Amino acid sequence: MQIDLSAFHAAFFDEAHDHLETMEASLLRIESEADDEELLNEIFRAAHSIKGASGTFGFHDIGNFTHVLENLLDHLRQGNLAVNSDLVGALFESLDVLTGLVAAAQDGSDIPENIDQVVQRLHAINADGDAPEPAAVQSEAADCETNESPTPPAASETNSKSMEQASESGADPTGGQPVETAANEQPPQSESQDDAKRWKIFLRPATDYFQFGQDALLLLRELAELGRFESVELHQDELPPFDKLEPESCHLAWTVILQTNADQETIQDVFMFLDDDSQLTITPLGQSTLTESESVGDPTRDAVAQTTPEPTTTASETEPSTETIAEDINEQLEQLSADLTTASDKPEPATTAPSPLAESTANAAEPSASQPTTASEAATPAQATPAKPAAKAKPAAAKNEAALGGRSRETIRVDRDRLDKLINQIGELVIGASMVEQDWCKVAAAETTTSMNQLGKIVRDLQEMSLSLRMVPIAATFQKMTRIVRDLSNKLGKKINFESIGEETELDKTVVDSIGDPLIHMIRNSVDHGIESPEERIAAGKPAEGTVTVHAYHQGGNIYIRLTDDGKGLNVEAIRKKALSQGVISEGDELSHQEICDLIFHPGLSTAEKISDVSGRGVGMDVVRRNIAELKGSVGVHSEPGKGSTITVRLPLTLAIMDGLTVRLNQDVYIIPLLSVIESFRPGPSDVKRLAGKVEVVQVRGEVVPLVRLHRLFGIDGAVSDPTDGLLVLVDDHEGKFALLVDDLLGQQQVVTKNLEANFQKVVGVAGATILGDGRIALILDIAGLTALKPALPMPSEEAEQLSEITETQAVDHPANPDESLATSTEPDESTTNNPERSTPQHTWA
Amino acid sequence: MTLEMNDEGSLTPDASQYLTFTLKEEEFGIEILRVQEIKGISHITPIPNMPEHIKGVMNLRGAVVPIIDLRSKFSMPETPYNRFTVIIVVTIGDKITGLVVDAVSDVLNIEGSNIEPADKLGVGCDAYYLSGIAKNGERLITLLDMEKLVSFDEHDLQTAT
Repeated sequence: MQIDLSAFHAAFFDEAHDHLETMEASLLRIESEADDEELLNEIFRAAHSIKGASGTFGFHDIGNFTHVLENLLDHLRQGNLAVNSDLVGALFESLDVLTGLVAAAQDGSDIPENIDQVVQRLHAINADGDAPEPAAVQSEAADCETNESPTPPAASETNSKSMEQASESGADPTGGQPVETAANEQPPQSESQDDAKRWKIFLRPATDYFQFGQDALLLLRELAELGRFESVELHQDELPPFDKLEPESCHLAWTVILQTNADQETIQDVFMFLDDDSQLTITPLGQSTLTESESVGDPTRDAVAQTTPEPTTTASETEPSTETIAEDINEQLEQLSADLTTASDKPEPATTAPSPLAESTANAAEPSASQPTTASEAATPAQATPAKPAAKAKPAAAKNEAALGGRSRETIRVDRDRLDKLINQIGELVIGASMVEQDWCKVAAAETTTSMNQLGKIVRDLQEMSLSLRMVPIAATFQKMTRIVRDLSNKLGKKINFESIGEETELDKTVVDSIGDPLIHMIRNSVDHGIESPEERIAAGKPAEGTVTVHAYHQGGNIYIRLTDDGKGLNVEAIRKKALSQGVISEGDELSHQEICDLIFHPGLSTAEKISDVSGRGVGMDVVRRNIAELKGSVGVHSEPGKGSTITVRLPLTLAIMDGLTVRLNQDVYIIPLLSVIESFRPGPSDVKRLAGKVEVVQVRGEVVPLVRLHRLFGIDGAVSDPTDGLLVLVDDHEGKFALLVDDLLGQQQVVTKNLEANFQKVVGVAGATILGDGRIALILDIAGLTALKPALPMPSEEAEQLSEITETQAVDHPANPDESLATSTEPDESTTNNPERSTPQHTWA
Repeated sequence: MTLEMNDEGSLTPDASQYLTFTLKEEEFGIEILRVQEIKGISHITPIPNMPEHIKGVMNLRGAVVPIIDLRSKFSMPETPYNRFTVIIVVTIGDKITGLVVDAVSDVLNIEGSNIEPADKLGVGCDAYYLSGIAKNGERLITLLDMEKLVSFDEHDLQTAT
């Protein structure tokens, strides 16, 4: 069976994007938290995963590039290079290249132009790191060795990490290179003479191993590249008799004795993609020659020598059930690493070490107790002891690391369509249940309604839960903003401290996806125009470092995102001048401070005195407002000269549910988005006027607004056509207000929105549809779209003439539907009486 | 794989199955694989400013499905809907549409050799929507091109206005 790799590409890209995001998130933190080893590890892991997967799927460009990047990261990890802003800059640049490469592989866009440049930069940095490399490699090899031999790989890996971490944080005062620990410094000398070590590697792939397109031979070959095979033993004990042999299953196992100078981690990396069902044990066997045992004075080494004769198999035996155990271990490890941190402050940490072995180590290390690194030494065996059951190869190690570092929640990737279908179906269930409930009430006795209510409640809970499935935290968007602030402030030579609050605030995925660009635009504005240069700031008596804060929070069924800067505020005078020159306002207009501020949302206004490539092209804030309005949200600005400005964006929690006003026109129900509704009223006969014989207007609270006859726009027969008989709903579509004539208001309700395009097409004036409690469909009005509909249906001239009388209240029907025989059952009876008499308008008011 | 089975079944490779229905006195056929279900009429919500034959949208278990009246579409006199009015729900691509017809009559196996290309015959409705005319004994069945019929394209909107 041929496996079509392209089927997995989507998953690869998904994961690659995730990894890239992780890398970016960690990179952003690494400058300020350079001593956090886990950040580096996270970046390294992400890069490594991308490299591995890209190789598997044949994206060699990505693989090759990531390889170079990985080398650099490795140097960093081993302390050969120190984190500085230049290096972080290079890392960011390579992250961008990598993102570009992934995009290129995904949609065939161009490979980033600066790739060669970046690769050279990375090589240059790598060359710096290469010089001290041998020592570092050995120190890591030694790390592995300080663990007693039965220590399973997972534990030892974590140990070496925490050691490095501790030693590095301890070494800070000396600056530059992290100090090698006392114990570590000795073995390298002996090792440099003969650094090959022996490892016993046992591999039993899962029976379904081949079915995933894997091949154990490749693993063995890769392993062989690390060093020399002393022996390879094939275990055929599970090989079934020939007649029962399943050729697609794997029945074989191997034991390899490998001589290599590679460290344990490198060996494990070979098996990185081995699945959980496969068995893997990697056991160090000590040096290939016995020269090492002469290195007396190194107690850890002695300890290793003592334990080496027993290559253990316990690890593989406990394997299948380790996943749950591993999680306990995580907690213990966390506890221990916390202990470790405190321990490193104390000169004598021997108390934390439970085993005599550890004690001896601690004692041995005591002569150098003045060095801060001692603590980590002693704590290593202490950690190793409880970690023993975590006999898991790579997967478990990865889990441990994830739990220790990111504390990430477990997630499942679900196809968006499927999720939407599920949510839709649950919506149906709600409607179905309420229909049953209504029917039930008619026939059933009162006492049975309790169970019905119970059912109704469960169904509604279910719906609520289903809607929360679409909610995602806004953190990813904030992360992009952090990056942009960093890049921009470097570019513009401004010092900016970016704070984000409420990253965990959740909102609908669709909203999160679409809010990114507007937010980024706003933050560019803040950084470019809001925050002053350090000199200006100091001159103004403010700290040189500007602060930009973005804060997301829930309030009353809405999400608010507030962007605050402590810059110079909006330049009110400049906005005013600009608005004047653009003819947006006229000379005589008296505008309040706030009104001028609001002008920034007007199309064509940009206050930047010179156009930079950052912002200032004049297509800024009005686009932001339009984008946000499309999300059924709103945006406002508040600014104080010299103190800064605040932009507040309000967004609905979800687009799937909307508050609507249900109105009736003849027998049809329509929904007006509550967001656009200002009020509803019944006009008096004198309130309705006709201007210049054309435009109908209505007076409301002293304001004159256009009157829009919805029944005419929609060609609905039999609806109330006398405004004094029906109701007017005053709506605002951001361009202006107008009054919609409807027959009646039915109420206000939350509706689940569905689009018409799914099976049909977009309809002008209709934003979507929803299903009412009785199973019927009601259309949701698109208020802004209605205005577009108005000129499309010019009033018949004949009709207009008759209407030119002041205070018209005639029931003149729209001349649609000329053939009365076409009327369907949904159409009203009255229409048959109205239409034939169209030429002689009927006065309905009495 | 299953599709092929349905397509051929026990028939000769050339034949396909058609669902036939009547409008006025004429008999029409559509490929049965397009048919999702047949259901009675329920409440149809009109859509504003649509051609006459697009009656509106109907709730089909949560999906908002447009309803086309084929009598109206083919400029035949319309009859009021009653409880015998039938909607054939068809799927074209990933879109679902309901077609209002007078009555569903049959499922027929029609051999390719019995189908005349549409352009040879003048029929009582716009030839644009026809894929051919099938002979079944004495009966003549007009086969409809579903893609064109429910494409909601310009041609579609023009014929109605």
